[in-house]
Amino acid sequence: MSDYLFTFVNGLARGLLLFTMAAGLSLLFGVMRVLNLAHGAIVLAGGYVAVTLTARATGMGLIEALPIALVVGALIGTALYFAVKPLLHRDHLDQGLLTLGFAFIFADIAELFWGTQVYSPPPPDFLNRSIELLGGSYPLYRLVVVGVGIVIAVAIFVVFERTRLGAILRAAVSDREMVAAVGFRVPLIMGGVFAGASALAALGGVIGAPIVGVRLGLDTETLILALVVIVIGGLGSLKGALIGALLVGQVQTLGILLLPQASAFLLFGVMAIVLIFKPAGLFGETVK
Amino acid sequence: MSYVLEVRDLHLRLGASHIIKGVDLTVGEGEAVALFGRNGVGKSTLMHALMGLVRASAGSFLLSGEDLTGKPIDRIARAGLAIVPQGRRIFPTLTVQETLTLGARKAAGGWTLERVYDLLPRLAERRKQHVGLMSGGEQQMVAIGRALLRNPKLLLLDEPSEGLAPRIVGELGEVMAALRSDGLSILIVEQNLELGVNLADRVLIMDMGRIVHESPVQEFRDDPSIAHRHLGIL
Repeated sequence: MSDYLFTFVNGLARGLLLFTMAAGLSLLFGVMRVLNLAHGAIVLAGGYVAVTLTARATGMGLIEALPIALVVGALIGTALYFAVKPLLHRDHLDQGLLTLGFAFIFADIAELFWGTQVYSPPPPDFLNRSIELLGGSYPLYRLVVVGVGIVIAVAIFVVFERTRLGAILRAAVSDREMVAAVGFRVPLIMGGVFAGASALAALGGVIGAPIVGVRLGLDTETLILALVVIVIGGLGSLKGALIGALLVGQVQTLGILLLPQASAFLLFGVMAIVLIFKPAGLFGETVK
Repeated sequence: MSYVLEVRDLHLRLGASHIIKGVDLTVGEGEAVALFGRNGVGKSTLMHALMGLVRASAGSFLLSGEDLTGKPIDRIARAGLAIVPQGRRIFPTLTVQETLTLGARKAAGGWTLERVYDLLPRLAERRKQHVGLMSGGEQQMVAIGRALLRNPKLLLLDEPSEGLAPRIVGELGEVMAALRSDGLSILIVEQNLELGVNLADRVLIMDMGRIVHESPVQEFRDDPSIAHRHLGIL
């Protein structure tokens, strides 16, 4: 029984980590209607920032590396915005091709600098231990990831639904021209969304680094999982992204426990089942 | 009389079609001007060009003497132009209050949230409601309130009565009369001639991309042949 409970908590940690990694992708798609296939690369970039700062520099820990990774993520996002800007009015295929191209270039550059090995930066010392949990011992860091994921999810919803910034973003979802017509510089908002979404991706890369390991291939793996998450949840819906991520987290960890041979299939099986019954995803708007 | 809006020889081409063919028009300080014309003669396109939603091909327009030709939408908005667009274009996922305060700016004009709620009491009752769930008439009032809180130098009203029930059009007329008596400068495009005539000081008629008639509202009212000739109304 406790096996299942641990698997559940593992799945929860995985799901919330995935939400952190996928939320930016969903936000970009929802607010800007941009498909950013370089999102996974930014997650990996955040991971490499953590690896580099904790291993080679002056004994920095993961916590000190985090703000730097956020800034790096925001800068990458801003640069990406200017690169994608000419394609904002084009369809998703064009945007996808461009951003996928950037992802490939990033992967090649990353291989030059960091090679193909797997890095696992340690969690911060005070979190690098196990605690008693329901009659067993459980890595504290994973529980912290659960907590951070919950905080991020709540923060995103509060900002989106309860603040003026959120109102501006929701307005931009429905009619960008009218947002401009009430005086806002829409390019600034769009650039800000790119920066914020990318900083969130980098954050996911940093906090996930001790758990999933930073390596070439994490970018595409994350991208595919994040795409599955937002397709299950409904494109552009943050609530959907959260539910989708929690579901994928459970399916993945339970799948490995129960049906190890079929675990890769299970994920896409679940997605297929969701799409059969809800073609627009769990919380998606009907496709127009 | 000083002009809030001066449009000089404005042209607009979209692909092969020449939609606006040299429009000159002015709106004076505190004046309400109605722009009539049949469907497809370029009235809404002209409104869009003024707001920056489409770019004019040639010519210029000035708001209180400031040349805004070719400027981006937000720049034009900050210069003091506000629009109640055709089709309302409200933000469905925002509440009434969020919509109204979104672009609120303090400027001469003195429109505050309280004053807008006084003018449009139904919005005050529903301030927490999502605008997407409201009726067409209520959404139109939200669109008007949104524009008023910009405290614009000139308000563009693009077919505000379109798609509204007659009773609501009556309410709309009262709201617009209140705006006018408050001294707001208005340029209105309307298919409902009565609504436009009741509001305006001056009438313009547009046909095939040009202004073909201009007169004080009284002259338009007294001479039905004007409407007959240009608008095909008996």
